[in-house]
Amino acid sequence: MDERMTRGWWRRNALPLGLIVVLAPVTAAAISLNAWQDLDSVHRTAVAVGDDVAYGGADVGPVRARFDALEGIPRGSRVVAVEIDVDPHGAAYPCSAPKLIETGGKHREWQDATLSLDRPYDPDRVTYCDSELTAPFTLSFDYLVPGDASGPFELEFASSNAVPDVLRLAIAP
Amino acid sequence: MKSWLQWTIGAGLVVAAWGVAALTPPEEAREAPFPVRAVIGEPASGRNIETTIADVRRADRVTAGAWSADGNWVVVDLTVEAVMTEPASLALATLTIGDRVFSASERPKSLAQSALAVGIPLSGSLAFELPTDADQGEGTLSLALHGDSRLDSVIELPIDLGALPHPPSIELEPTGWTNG
Repeated sequence: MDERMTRGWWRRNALPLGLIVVLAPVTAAAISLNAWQDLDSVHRTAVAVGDDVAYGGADVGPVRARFDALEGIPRGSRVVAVEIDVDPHGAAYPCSAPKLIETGGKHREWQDATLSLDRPYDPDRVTYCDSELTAPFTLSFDYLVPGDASGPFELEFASSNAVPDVLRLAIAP
Repeated sequence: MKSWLQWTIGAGLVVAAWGVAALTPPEEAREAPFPVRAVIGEPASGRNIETTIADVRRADRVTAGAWSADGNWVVVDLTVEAVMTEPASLALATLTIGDRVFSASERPKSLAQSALAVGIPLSGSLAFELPTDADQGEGTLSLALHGDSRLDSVIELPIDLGALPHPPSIELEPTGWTNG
């Protein structure tokens, strides 16, 4: 008797039960997709050490990097000095100072400390994207890092010409 | 279904609902800061801030180079650094006593609002200028990277104002690299 009643209940509610089976996973998938889309809309392009790449209307790279020991920096720290070749192909090229990212170990990030370090003044040194520069130029940035930050590193390079794409330029100081 | 069973299930559901309501954190808990209790002389680490508080004292006069001021001062000597990312700065430095919250004074040059480097400690002092009646009782020193510290780490050090060393005058530590 009970078994017949149970079978009858399932038969009477077959349609709503079927809808639940279909709609529940569809709803979960839609919510998940929506959330993941919002999570990170930046598209990153990896560029190997020594390579250059077309990005936002310019050729960016290759990048040269070295460890420097400048005067006045704290004991136990050092400077990662980088030079990025940029060919803007005759047009003004907007960009921002890249951040230095430790791709292994503690995954730390540093912003450039170019203007706060005691490097001798060089009038030919380009330390920011100058909109008046339309001929090829070389950007120079300094990063102050602790002695235990030995790499590997990447530079995250962004231009408003290419939003939301950014470059991840591998460097080997 | 038997009526006693229905009553039992109903009562059970009411008790379960009460339990869920009692266990649910308050609304503000969703955005509450993550406090990290500090101990003098030992490093205290949060998400993106690490600090070692070396000393906390009171004084009737504080000097910083050529600058000086009389008053009821609490002076904190510390080292502080960012842990993961730049930019970072010591934007929150407050001393809470009862219902009153005092920000670190901006009158002398100090660590307040200083930019922090990842992995490279900065040393200096913080100075809190208190009203003359604030010389007893418990307080809490709070340090964080943002004035709005919701969902971020806040380093907290309990302070007993009445038990602090009280020299007549304190020279603030100059702000600079710890290993400069």
